[in-house]
Amino acid sequence: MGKPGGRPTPRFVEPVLDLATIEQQEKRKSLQEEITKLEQTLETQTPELDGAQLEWEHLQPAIQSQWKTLEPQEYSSAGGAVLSKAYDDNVSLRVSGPNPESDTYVIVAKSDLPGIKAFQLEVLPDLSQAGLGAGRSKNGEFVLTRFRVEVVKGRQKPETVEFSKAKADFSADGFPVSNAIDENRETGWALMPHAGEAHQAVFENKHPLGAGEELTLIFTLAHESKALYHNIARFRLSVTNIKDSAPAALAPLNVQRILGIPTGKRTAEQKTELSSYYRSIAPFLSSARRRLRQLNKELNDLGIVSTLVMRERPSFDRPSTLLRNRGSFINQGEKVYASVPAVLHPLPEGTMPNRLGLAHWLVDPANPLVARVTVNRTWAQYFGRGLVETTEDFGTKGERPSHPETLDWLATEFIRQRWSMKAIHRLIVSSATYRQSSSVKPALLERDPYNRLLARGPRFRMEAEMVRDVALSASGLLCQTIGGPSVFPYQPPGVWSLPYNNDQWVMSEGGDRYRRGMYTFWRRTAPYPSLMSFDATSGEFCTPKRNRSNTPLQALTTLNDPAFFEAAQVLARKIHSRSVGNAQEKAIYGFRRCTSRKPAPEEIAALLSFYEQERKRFSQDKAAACRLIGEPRSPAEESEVAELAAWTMVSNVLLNMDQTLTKE
Amino acid sequence: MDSTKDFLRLATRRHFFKDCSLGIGTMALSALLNENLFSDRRSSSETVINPLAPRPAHFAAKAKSIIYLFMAGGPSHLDLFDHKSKLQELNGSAIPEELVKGERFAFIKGDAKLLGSPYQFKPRGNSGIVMSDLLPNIATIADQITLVRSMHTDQFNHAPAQVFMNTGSQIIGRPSLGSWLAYGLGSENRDLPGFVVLLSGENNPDGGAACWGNGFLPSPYQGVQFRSKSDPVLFVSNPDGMSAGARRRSLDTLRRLNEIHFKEVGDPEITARIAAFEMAYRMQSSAPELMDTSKESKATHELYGTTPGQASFANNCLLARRLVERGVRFVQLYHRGWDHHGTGGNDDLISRLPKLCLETDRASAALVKDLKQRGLLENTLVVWGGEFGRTPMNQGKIGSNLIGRDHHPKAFSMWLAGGGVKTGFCLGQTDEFGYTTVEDPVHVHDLHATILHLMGLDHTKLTYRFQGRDFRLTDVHGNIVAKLLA
Repeated sequence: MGKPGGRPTPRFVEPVLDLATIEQQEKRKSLQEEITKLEQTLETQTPELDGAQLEWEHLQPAIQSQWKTLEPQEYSSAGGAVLSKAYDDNVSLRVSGPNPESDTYVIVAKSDLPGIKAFQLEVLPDLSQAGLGAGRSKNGEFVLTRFRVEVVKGRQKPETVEFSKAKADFSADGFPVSNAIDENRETGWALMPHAGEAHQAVFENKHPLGAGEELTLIFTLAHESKALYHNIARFRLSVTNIKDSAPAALAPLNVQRILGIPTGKRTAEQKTELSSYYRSIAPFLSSARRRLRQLNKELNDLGIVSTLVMRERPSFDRPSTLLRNRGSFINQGEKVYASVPAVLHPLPEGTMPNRLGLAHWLVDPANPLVARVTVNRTWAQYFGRGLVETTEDFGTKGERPSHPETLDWLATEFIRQRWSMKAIHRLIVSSATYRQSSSVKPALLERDPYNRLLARGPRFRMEAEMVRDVALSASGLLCQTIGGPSVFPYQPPGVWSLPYNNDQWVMSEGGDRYRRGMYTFWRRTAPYPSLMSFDATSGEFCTPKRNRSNTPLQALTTLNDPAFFEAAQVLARKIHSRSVGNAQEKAIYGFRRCTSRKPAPEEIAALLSFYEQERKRFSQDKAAACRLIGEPRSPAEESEVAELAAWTMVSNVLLNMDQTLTKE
Repeated sequence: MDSTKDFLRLATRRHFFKDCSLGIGTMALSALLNENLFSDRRSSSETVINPLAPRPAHFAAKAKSIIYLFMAGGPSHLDLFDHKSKLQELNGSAIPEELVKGERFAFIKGDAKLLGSPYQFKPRGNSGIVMSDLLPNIATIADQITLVRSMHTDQFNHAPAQVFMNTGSQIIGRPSLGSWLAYGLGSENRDLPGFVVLLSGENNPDGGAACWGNGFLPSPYQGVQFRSKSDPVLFVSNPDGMSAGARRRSLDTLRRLNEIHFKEVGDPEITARIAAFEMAYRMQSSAPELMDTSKESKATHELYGTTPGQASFANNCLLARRLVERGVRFVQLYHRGWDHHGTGGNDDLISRLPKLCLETDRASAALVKDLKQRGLLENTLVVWGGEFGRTPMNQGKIGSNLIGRDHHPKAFSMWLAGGGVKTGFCLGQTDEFGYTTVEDPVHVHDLHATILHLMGLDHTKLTYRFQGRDFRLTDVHGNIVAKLLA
């Protein structure tokens, strides 16, 4: 890119990470090889081209003096597109912004050419368009259905110019240029399949216009055919007073300027520029150009994703910033350079203050802090609280560790085991401390209500996302796919209703509806309500630690949220469809799915009596049973709706038990 | 219970707030200290689990609850509360340059022309507070309110200004006023949240849920949105096919299972969970009961202009009264649609502003009257206002029939009623254009400090430690506006 005929090079190139798949990479490689070859062909001046260019140059003075390019004074799109003068020639108009189904452009220009006999419309390919052509459709095409000129003399009313004839250097089959001046508003002029090149149409008027005074010309270009979005992408207008002028490609202003200089007096640079321009229009190379456009389009259509990334500045560019006194952005203080806090150990000798240097400094054996903070966070995940209570703050305002020696030992073990996360997890979960029972006797509770002394195993309600995950996994609904874009599980209507925003929460289909809670799409101004009830943080602040509350809104969520109740319905089907065993064995199975342990006889009794009681009630009210289970899904289910409904009630209870929601 | 006494000796208020960050266990214990000082911890599980248990104020409070009518979008003070004859006189001429030099506006440029209000103003009531004809009902409570004409804020775009007005910070993530109050004072009602939000108008406020978020405070203090369609509180209805009886029986079974497990592991959190499920069950009946206004008298419906079962700002006003009657600490109503730029038929001062007034005027006044006749106004602070005011200059295009005003943070009006504020009183003044405050300016932080003061809280002492420092609603700002205290 950035080469002649390519897209303009952006002025600031941000570091980008290319995310092509292996197939895309292969495809791209073969495309690029051919592209490079074609570009070489198009950039190589041959003796053959020299000859053709000379011929072309000879014709130019006549052509250039024949047509007078009009400079647009006012220009607008009726459909909401944006018209602007092209930066390279300042006379052609480029169309950008929204591409409406059918657009109409109005252009006002002035001319003092006496005796105007014809108008020329040049359509030019625009490489910033999706289709890389002179039209804005996906294929780079357009259909011009009406070309109208009105002329205003002085303060008189505009008069429509009558045309006698229209001709073009090329027209697609069935789309002659005369369509643009006929009565039919739907037929038009098109270039298929050559919309990727510059082409010209000439419209001759019946009566010559003007006698040297300044005329105001109002052009209307309409695109009202049945082919939607087929609007012109870039065009230029010119006039002539010479009869029977042929359609002619006018050179850009910079090229016209060079043509005006006698051949011998052109500089080497000008010569290069001229031949480079000629090659871009040489008929001799048109098939190569067409092929190149095709390949570029294929490359574009691969849809390779890229993402902006951060990249280290060159090492000589020492990162610095200005202090902002008291946080005020207008109150500048001294210039400071990247370094590490003076209170901690210095950067290792010979290390640059860059990302690599920071990484070395962080894992420097002289620095125990990173290891301490890291193991403390892992510990907090397992025990519900860290050895240092303030996991986010090891500074002067933080809490002191309850077991400093343990923390230090874990930290040194972490370093010794080469910072292996897996090893530290294993070390913690296989410890005698972690493997203790979480049961607590009143006397111990009295002495140590928060288990700071770790005389028992941890016991705490799981985090918001895991509360959801447990219901999904117990019921078997959980979709275990890892990664990918965020998903949209069930959310009550009306949560997203934001001003200046029409975004809709459209529930994901299939497995994406049952992904882990952490994949839920997050919008800070309207966060997912059931996660928020369980102390998820809104994402507005960096929060290493969440609160852990216990509220009626949480109870309502796990009892009644359709996402959770669906889990109960599915779990019930799982329990019920176990062909072997009686109700007792089924109840045990359901209990184990939720808690990973066998229920005590007392617990089984409670579940069974509830099951029996509900089964009896639902056999009296099968309509309610059907609604409760979300309608029977097979003839077999139809005959057993009462049983299924009773198991659904049981499952709802199982999924709401304290021990299901709690890690113990 | 020696340990409890030990705690009592140790726990000052400061400790209490500090301990809140340690999670529900400590918080529960702190609640226990306040309410059931010497009772057995095991048997008082309901207070153990309730972080919203009422807590004493720093000093005797004037108000016990707040109803905040948030007029989202920025109502025009110049067409409602702050009459400027000078603007009418100079209608269409340029604003003096020294006023707007170097100023930035959301949309217009400094050379926009002055716009006199197209509406008539009159003195109202015995107090003679001048108000626009657009608010005939609020005019009738002129003698009940304190009108502040000298409000000013830091923000001139909707979302940050709304977030600023609610949290004291333009950046989302700080706790909102209602959350601070729920945290500082708890709630008198055990079956309903302590901080309830009701929405009406064109759409939700621009600031979104951040306007009633708990920020870094524990989540029980977040504003709970009561919805006018389907469930008033999310998930309060039982699943289809499950009767109230079936729900009760399932909760009994659940309770039995939880109790069996409690006997096994002895964690008081289990008792807390049992109580939370019982509260949820009570909420299942109390929330729909609250939302059902059909038993209100005909006279009441006449006063507010409500029809039972029909969602509206007026209906929300009536619900707000029912909520404070039940002891809810903070009720916040949002009505979006006050953004009258005059750039289209949908947002100009002639067609649109009167519509918004019609939607809100009668019910706002009715709320104050109703609270008064029930003896609730003394203890309830009513606040009416938006996130900013509007410019004295016209934003409508020259030559167009539409007129309107741009966002304006430098001056706007709000009113307060009941809960310890003066009656029939007008505070502050703006300049002759209504452009900037010239007497008794009241900043958003000052308003917050004053509201907390009326609720019995010292805004410099209501703190929460987060990320290594103590946070306040008013940060390092805020002065109590003594002049408006009764």
